[in-house]
Amino acid sequence: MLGQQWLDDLATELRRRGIPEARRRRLLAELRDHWMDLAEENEMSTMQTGLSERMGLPAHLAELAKHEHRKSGLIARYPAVAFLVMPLPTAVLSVVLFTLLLSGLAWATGFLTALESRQPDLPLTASTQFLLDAFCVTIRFAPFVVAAGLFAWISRRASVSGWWCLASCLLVGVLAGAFNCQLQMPVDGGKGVLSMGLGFPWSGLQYVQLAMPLIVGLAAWYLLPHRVLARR
Amino acid sequence: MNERRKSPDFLNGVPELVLLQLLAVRPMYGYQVVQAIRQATDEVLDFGEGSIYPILHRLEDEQALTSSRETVAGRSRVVYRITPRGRERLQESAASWNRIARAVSRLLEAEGGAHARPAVAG
Repeated sequence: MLGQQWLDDLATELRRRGIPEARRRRLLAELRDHWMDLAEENEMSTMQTGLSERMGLPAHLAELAKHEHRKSGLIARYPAVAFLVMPLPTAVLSVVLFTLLLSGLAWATGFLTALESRQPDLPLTASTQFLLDAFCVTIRFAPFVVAAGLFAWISRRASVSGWWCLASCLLVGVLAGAFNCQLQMPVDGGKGVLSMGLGFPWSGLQYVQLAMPLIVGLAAWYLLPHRVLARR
Repeated sequence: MNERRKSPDFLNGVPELVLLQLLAVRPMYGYQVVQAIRQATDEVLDFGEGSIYPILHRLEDEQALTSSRETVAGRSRVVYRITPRGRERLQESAASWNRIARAVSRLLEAEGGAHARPAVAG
């Protein structure tokens, strides 16, 4: 049967492109249904070329199936994992990375060395104090804002509902609100202490910390283009 | 804003937009979808009929559609239905398409439009 030959050719092409078996079976079953509908309505030529013209060449169809299979990524298939589970570890990782980045910058510019070698009984200069305060403020906001922006971008890329973006930004925001960072300068030749942690109840600044990732994440979601009409 | 940067790709989402729009009207199986596209577009949109299935499967993966095997006219078929997420996506997708269509129309209707002589420097 020529229709069966077309389906066999397609099955071979799909297998060659590594389409998973379940998906392959399903596509072939639906195409068989479609072919039977065509046959019932006497619309189909009995020639193999006619069938390919109507349904598409097996190789082209297999290529499209591969392309579409790749597009339906894990995020779209498992949004709860991506937007409810991942935000917290991502925000923590972001804090760690920012701390390393800023510490690295301080070390590379000689700021840390200068700080360590200063006379312990002398007060900090205004610029040093400013940089230390800036570090504490930056670490309270920047990692969380970046994480929220990342989830907004991911939600747009995966074309999932905006509610997922809101949920992930809210989770990041709550973690940001609870986040505390304090820097204690060395006293009497001892060592300074940088402490980070989560704390309740919240102070005024922590409510701002909660709001910032939310605002930035939602603004990014609004401004970023969605991919529905721009997919490859 | 970034829509401009993406514009060369915009036609790639058309089959998806068409499928979502048709399934928003009523649930259908693949063959019905193809017939509906032909009727609705006066056969302007012409493509290999088999090509809708990989797109339907992807939309289902993305939870824009659901499917179920049902007996229709004495035969078992896979019937597709749009989900709330699919409707939301259709809305966004249609809005994007309208923006692009308006932009192209403005371009074509611009003074001189298609009849303008090419501007040659020097």
